[in-house]
Amino acid sequence: MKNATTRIAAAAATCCAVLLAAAAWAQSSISGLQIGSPTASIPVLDVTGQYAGQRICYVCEFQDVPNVLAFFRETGDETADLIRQLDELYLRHKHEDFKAVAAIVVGEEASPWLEELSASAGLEIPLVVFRRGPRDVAMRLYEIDPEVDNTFLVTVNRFVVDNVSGIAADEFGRVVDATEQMMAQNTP
Amino acid sequence: MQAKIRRSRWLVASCTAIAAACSLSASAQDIPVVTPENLAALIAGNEGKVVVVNFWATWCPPCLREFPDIIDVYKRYRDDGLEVLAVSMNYPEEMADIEEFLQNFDPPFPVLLAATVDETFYEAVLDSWYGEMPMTLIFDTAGNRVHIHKRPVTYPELATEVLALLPSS
Repeated sequence: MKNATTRIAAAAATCCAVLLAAAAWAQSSISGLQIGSPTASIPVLDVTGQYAGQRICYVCEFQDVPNVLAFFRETGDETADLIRQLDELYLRHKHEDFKAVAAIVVGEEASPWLEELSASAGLEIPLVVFRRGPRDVAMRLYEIDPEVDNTFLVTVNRFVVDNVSGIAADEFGRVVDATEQMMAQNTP
Repeated sequence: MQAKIRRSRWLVASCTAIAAACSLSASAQDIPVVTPENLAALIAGNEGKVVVVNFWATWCPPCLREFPDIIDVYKRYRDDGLEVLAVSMNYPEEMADIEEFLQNFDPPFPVLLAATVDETFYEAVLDSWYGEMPMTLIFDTAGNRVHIHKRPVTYPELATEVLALLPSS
């Protein structure tokens, strides 16, 4: 009886360990282009930016300047929090010709939510959506994992210099650090 | 071999005729679709001229900003031996946008549509092209690629480079 209990406890412990490892693996999943990859030109539907209502390529617009391209799987509180933090990061560096854009993968259905978020939070960065949602060609070109909540590509001269993906709102410091490092190296 | 040459000449002649027709009609429906091979043949078919190939898309703001300068350079030097080929990298479902673009700019040179918009097209055109736009290539009168611009060009810059390659210069 004691042996059986021990075996059950050991099996339960093993299951827990496997689940924890799986959770950790999911947490560290990499989504998006790897460091050193070039950034392709992709048209998105601008919702709140200077080209609102139009198909536009912000990667083309940004050209070589340092920027963060942020991709979010869907709308929600966590996404809103991260977008607000990205906007704050943009405000801190915009005088250095830094740019940022936040794209929602889910598509046009996210537009009203983005308009509301931009207006209520007074955001300056453009918020955009993938025209074809998760089936958009940008998913393939930017190697976005549809299972990962968010992907931040820190880029300059149209190359990825850092990739931070699958983070919680309280981990945005990783994007800040990567951006600060890029800005420091990009200073003439 | 002779058949190959004949096919190549026929392709150049066809593409040139189509492109010439396109320059007169300025309608998105008439835009010839080109593969990288067609494009190479078009460039080769313009031997004796300086050829500027500009890759653009209606959703690329810097492409729209530089386009008037490209038109102006063409108008200034076309009689001296300049040819411009403007290749749209728009997707097939964006024909209405191309139509609007053509109406707004009324380009006086051939406008073409890329057969595919992906890495295979980019790489076939230029090894080091990853799809940055705008992208402009400049070929000398012998058909050699002399300049690559993976960013917008300005009138002074383009005019200087074209002028240096023109036979009369």
